[in-house]
Amino acid sequence: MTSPTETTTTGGATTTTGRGPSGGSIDTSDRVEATLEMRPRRQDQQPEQAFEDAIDIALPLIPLPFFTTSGLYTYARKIDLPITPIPIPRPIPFPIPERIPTPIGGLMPTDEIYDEDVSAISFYQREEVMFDVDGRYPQMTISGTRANLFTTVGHWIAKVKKTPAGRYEGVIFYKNGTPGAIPHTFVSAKVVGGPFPATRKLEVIFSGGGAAAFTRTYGFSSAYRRKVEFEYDRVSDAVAVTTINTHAHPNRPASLANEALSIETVFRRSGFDATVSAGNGVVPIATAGGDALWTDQEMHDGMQVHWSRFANKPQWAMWVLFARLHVSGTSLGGIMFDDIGPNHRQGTAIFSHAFISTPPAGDPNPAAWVARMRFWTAVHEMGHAFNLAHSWQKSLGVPWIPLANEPEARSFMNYPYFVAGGQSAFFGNFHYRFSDSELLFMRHAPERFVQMGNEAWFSNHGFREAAQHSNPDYELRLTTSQAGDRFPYLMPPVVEIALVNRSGRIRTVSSARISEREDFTLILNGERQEARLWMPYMRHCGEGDDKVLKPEEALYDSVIAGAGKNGWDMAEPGRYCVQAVLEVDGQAVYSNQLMVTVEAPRTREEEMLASDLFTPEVGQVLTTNGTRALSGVSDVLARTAELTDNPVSKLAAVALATPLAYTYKLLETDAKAAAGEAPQQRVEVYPADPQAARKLIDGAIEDDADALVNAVGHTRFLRDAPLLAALEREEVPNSPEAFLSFTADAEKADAATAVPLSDKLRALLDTKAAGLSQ
Amino acid sequence: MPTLKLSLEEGFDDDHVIVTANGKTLADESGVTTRYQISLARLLDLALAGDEGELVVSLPERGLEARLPLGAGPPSHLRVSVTRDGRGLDLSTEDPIGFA
Repeated sequence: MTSPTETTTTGGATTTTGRGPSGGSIDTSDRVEATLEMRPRRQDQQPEQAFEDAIDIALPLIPLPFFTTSGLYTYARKIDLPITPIPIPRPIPFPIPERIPTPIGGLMPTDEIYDEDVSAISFYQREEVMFDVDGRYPQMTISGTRANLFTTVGHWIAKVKKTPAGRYEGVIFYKNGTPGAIPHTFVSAKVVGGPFPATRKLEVIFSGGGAAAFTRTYGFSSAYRRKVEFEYDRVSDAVAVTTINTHAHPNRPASLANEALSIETVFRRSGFDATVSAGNGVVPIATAGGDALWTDQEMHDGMQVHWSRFANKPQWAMWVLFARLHVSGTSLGGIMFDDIGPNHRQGTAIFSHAFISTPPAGDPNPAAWVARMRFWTAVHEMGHAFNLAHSWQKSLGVPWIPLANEPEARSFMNYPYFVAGGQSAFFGNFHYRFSDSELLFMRHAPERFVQMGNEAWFSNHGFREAAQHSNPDYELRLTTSQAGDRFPYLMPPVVEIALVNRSGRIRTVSSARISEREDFTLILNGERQEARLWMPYMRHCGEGDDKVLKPEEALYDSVIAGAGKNGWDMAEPGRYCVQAVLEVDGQAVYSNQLMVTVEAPRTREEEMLASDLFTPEVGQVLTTNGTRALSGVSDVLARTAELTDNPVSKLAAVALATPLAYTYKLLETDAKAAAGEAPQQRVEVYPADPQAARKLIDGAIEDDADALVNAVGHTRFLRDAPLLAALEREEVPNSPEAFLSFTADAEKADAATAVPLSDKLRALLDTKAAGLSQ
Repeated sequence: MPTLKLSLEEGFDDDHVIVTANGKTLADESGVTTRYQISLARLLDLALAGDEGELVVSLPERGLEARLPLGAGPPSHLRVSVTRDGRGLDLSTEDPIGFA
């Protein structure tokens, strides 16, 4: 046993928690008086400490070989007063050079680089860049905002690598804000001006996305993303732990530094210049309902009355209350209680006498264990105030980009007793930090997602870098059948999906159709629009049979990603990053990031058709199997089918032909009904018209059958192949049910031979038929 | 008389939850909603007779039901979550230890 642990606490007094009986509460205080004891404030903290804790170890006087450059860099457009009412025309170089984006962006040797963003939709007044490539826990990420005088217009994030030339370069993988505010797709950054903060600058070249490349130079502003202020208050019957000795408990990582670690230091290392408030106040006992148990509403009321910084608005500040117990009892160790009202995430509470004060039986230093749990709980609840979800909940709620759960993460946001091996295993490898995905979110997500009082709790919480913790046994591969992954205008991009067994051994997976599973997520991140979550028109019911995959075998599906319940998410010409995640065996499998280009209209017919085609009704009919109910939609499809040199014509032909192939029943409701009576409903039966269907299909495959298959998607074609084959043989049954018995994969592959495909595509379809998801 | 600590945890969204044993209703809770910052919707202490052969947890409005045989006697804890796909219930008798 080690000596009793001393913990820095509140009220100018130091509370020493002694050893208690194993398995029992470690704090012997039985005081129940509930006056609030205010914390001594720590605004007198030495600046040297802040520098040491920053993600940038700034060296203000003497440059050393180990200086770091990460931090916030800013740019402000100089405005000469008085402001001229009419903007002075700026010399814009014409012609603006056009460039074809390379698959990963970057400059072409022939690109010109301008010294101003000539492609900007307006001249932004303020810009910021968060540069995160060295220092503590570098995320190799650069992010930035562009703002006008009053509001942020756009936000971008790029993952970067260091080049031999000392630049940091990478693709912008995330954009948020006004469409078109950030047309570029690639950044290349370099620190210039030497190591001193006063002269240090960041030179960033923006390029790609069809926009003119330009350079922007930002001045060093801070080693942190933002200043944040914490106000710690303690009820006198509670114990507050805001600093611990990291070596006080013997169960710890061998490499863990021995230090007195404060909550503020944890957040400084996460990218925030954390200070403790100088606020003041007293919470009377009535606020606690007359007992030592606190309800959420009581704490919320207390926050409004006693937090010196309280305001119904977003601000980088939070109130932290250390109380004895929640009204729920000892099962609740703490709570970010502020999901009440319009400005969430401003208040948290830690309950010092909850289960976190009960060390496991036989623990070698129960006092240190309790102090550590109280400290962990405090940072954990404050992490929620930064909009961080629990480690196993990353994929729930409204995450921004595909999120992986991190059930084994040694993060403040995980429950220590949830990991394999329990709390002992957790703390044996816990380095008092947030996970990389959480740091990425805190440092680089749009400010409103993170800032207290801004985005609602659990909305747009946490995002992560794809494939960071992907299930290693599988590959989720996204491809297209279009050359260069380029789709003509009007053609909704079709994405081919393959779940490949990379484990080297036989695996069993659900054969349920991949694109319609609940645990399949597809994100469409357009360069000129906010990222969108693709929503299928239908979801698969049932788990599907298990399917055995030998090593390197795959399960296949196709999806028309350009249209879904959200609408036409890829209608606008431009570049889109498409990425998916699928949960397999309880672990997320992340796909590659597929860059898809939607081309500009080539003919006036395409432009004129767009407003009629890009409707929810047409989208649904195109992506499913047609209709005979919506005559307006059929008219649009008929016009679309007449387009030349655009694969959307083939997609339209299939959508028109399918419901003609069999007798079609339609439930109709009479428009008029007698007074007091419900409208009459009746079933209309439309006879099959196989000749018309066959004519449409023949027209679509006449010049290029492969193009038809690629337009509808390989697996959808395989599913429809029996119908197409029957049309060719003029053996069309008079109901769709007749096809239900025609479901074996081999039969589908055989049926596909009815269409004159190239040998290469036929071989590919044979493979996919064997691994067709159902 | 043994007590069962029932924790309704993840996946609840304004749900109606009924727990029965031997045809007797032990809990009938409406408006059960998970608060994701604590991974918990509701904590209840249920008094058992001790001779229950089976616990039945149901969400009638979702058509979900799960049964827990009590062959070896009643557990001290019962944790209930709605599965990620919303089509089932996960039951566990492990001690949740706590929430935060």
